[in-house]
Amino acid sequence: MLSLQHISKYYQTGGNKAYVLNDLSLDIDQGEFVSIMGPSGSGKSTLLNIIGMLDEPTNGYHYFMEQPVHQLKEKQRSALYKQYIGFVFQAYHLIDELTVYENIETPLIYQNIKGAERKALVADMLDRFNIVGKKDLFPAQLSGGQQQLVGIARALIGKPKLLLADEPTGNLNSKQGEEIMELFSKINKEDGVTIIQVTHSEKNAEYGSRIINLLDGRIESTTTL
Amino acid sequence: MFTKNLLITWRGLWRNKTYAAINLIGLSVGLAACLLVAAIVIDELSYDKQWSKAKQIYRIISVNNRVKGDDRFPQTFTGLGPTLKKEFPELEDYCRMQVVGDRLKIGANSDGVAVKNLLAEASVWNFLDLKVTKGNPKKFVAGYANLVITEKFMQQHFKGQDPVGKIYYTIPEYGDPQPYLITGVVKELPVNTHLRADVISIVAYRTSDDQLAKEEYGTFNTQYLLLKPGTDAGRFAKKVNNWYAGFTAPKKPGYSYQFQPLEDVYLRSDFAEVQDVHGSMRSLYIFIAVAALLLVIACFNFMTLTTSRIFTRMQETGVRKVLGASKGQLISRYITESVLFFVIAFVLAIGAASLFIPYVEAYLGHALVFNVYNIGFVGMAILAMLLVSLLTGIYPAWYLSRPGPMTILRSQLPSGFKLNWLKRSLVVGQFVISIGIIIATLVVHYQLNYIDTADVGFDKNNLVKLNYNNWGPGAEAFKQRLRQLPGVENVSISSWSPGEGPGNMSTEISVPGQSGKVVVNYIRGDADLPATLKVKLKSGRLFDREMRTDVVNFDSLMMVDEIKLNKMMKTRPVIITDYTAGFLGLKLNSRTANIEGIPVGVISNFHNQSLHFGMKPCIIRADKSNEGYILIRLKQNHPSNSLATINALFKSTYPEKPFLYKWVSDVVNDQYKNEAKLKQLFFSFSMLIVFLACLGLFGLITFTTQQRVKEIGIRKVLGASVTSITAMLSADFVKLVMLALLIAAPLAGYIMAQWLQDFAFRISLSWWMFALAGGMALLIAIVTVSTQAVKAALANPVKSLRSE
Repeated sequence: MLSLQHISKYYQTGGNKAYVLNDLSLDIDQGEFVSIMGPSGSGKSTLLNIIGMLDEPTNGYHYFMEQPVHQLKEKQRSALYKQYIGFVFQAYHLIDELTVYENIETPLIYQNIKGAERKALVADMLDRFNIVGKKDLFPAQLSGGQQQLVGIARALIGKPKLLLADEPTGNLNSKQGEEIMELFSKINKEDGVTIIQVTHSEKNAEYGSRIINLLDGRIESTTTL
Repeated sequence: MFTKNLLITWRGLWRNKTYAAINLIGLSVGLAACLLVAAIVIDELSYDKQWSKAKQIYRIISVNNRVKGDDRFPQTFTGLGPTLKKEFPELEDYCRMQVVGDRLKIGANSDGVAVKNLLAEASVWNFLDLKVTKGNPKKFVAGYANLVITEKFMQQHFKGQDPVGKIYYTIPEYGDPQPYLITGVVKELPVNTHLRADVISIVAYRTSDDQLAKEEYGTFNTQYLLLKPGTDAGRFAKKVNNWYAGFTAPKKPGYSYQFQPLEDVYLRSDFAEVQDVHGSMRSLYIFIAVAALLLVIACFNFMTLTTSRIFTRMQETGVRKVLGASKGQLISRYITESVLFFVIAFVLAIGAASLFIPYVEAYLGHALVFNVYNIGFVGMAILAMLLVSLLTGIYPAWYLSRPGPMTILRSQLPSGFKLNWLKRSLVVGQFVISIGIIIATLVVHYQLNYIDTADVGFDKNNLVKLNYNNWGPGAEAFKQRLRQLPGVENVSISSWSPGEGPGNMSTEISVPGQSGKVVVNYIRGDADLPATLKVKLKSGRLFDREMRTDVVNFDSLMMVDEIKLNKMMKTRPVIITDYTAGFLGLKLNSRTANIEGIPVGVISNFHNQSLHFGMKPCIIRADKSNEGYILIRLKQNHPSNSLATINALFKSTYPEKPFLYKWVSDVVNDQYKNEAKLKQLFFSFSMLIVFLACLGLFGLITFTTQQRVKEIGIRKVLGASVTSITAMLSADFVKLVMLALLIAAPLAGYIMAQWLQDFAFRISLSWWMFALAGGMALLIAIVTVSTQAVKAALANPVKSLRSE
């Protein structure tokens, strides 16, 4: 589903190139649950952003769903990730002015889905995540775990094939974190959604089927569980 | 989608109340000022457009060909209208009409009721749309002036009565009372006409008045022509002038004529000094410029304030982009927000404007016809507002939707979002206007203050003036009895009163050492005038009631013995001012060839005219006349009922005359009415503009502090104090205000120096006025900036330095 070949990302500082990613190649198949680990500055987030097409590599080849992303125009790329990719953030990034219901509904609006269908889809999602009672609350009225739940619901509402999560449990306590990870594995197994997560926690990483360890912009080791 | 955006925007406003309030207040203040000015402008433009025949009616303007330059006036020979009607078939009708001040003996008040009277002939029914509600006033009743009153006038003065068919008399200041027969009642006359009046009196002209003299003499009055539909006024004027050139006895006629469209009469009659009700295109353009300026400033402030929220908005924009929003969708979302802001501000502005309408009307001196309640006006305003809000909203919308999806992963704005030169020059521009207008206000204030406290050479306080009149043979006795009243110190009959021109006559004489002729003003007054005015004697003596030479009635000698009169004129005692003595080289008690009279006293200079005018030679001549103003000097601590006792005495002496008085101090102040109004206008405008400038500044400082939040945090961790950080953040803006002062000072200085040229006696511009204005602006700017700067400086650096 996803193939990165010889991806590099660097910043020009004076005469030197500061590499964030250095000639990295990686393939990920449909249905995998990959955890990316590594110390700070090893390029985890950059790698995730490149996969999510929020960031561009300096050079290298990037294929997603059989399409050469590195050759696509901005508009086509955004159409691509809009259709196939869902994002979950460490800081949740819910929109403060919107209710739980509206936050979840937003991606559907941008995909031009009709009102009645949107209603049904959001209702389904609320039901599935057990947050029907919270649908009219604003993000500020929810706990961190609940906010992240909404964040995941929002990421899944567009039925993505790939879910990208940047330290999804970073701001949560261990119990909340555990629940979120349970949810991830359920989504991965039952819905067949491919998941790539960045994490610092060994324990959370073990929910995945493969762990990739990064160091200084290169893949240091890969562990298949 | 639209309603959704509205709802979200509304929630956003609610969550950020301070920001919303500041932005809304700024915008509503700007819009309200704009609405008020628009109401004024539309009102001014509406004059005399409401008459159904407005486009066919013209006022005759006489052009005096004998004088060089533009000498036009809106009167013409009484016989011109009737003669033109006989000569030209394209002329449907003519009407001689003008508004005059009148007094009617109605009700208990012995001075009657003062009215503005539209004195017209019967053809007025054909010119103006007057709706008769009572009586049959169109049928002229010969033998009287026919009085047609308005419904409002009837309500005010004839409540529950039927005045139609009754006769009322005028109370003239001069001459005999005239009977007016009320023949009918009409609906209100519009306010927005230069023929603004309370009543209409219809008179019949004598047939001799209809004759036009070939020798070009006769009585002048104001006349209007009604041309048949489709007549070209320009061509008609040409025809009339050609005809007139052949009609007059002189080959080159002394006058030619122009036909001024009725719709132009109000706004384009700067030449017509006698026209009471008129506006001016110039002040209209100034008003439009002011409104446009305020609107532009308010809109720019809105842009600055809105874009200053880029930091708070960055996250939302980023998230929405990640969720798949296109730039277009985000722009439409932010534009909706702008439009909503404008709609709310507009509603507030209408409320605010309607609160201020009475003040504006008081300032203008008449009611506004078009106000914020007018449906058409509001409709137009709404359309304009929507357009403006769209135009204003586009830039912030584009700006706010710029950050890419990556920005959500950062806490710093990407480059390209710096405080740019555009915003800086905006602040400088606003402060240039603010400081300029503060300087102007200060200069006007100090000049008026100077005028108020200037020594005019006589005591203007506690001095009452009775209108010019012929007091008859009993004049002297009346003066005597006035003088015996408890509060009265002195009484004088004088041909001149402060505020009534430089004197009652003037001569032009040659003075050695002066090129051209010099104007000498004469004031004719009785022996008590100098003492009543309390002029200051420097040498010689004032007039003396006991001296025979000082109490001669020259009018009574006029018909009797001309030789004796001429001789006496040459030797009559006069009092001259210090300046006159020096300028004309006059000596006490010695005759000078070109001056009539012998100076018996020299007094300190006194301003017989407003301080607009320079000193001119001025000579006071003793003349015991029965005609003139009566000046009554009251004692410093006169009883509070002094005026009432004077009135009572007046009424018992002259029961048929109205008691018309004024305080001389008021009359003197009235000479500076325009300046006082200007001060008022400048003051309100400066408040507005300073307020708006502060809002703009507030937006910018919010923006900058947010942008530098990390820097501030680091500095604090490194040990910077709150004061030093506040100073650092303010310095940039202080520099901008200083720059504004540098630009504004010479500009305002130049303009105000021009303005001061109107006064012969004036203050000089000094550095401290500029310093004061600059200081005020600076202080206001620092206070504004500090609110945000201190907040930023006080913030916990742990918060601002935490990333992600």
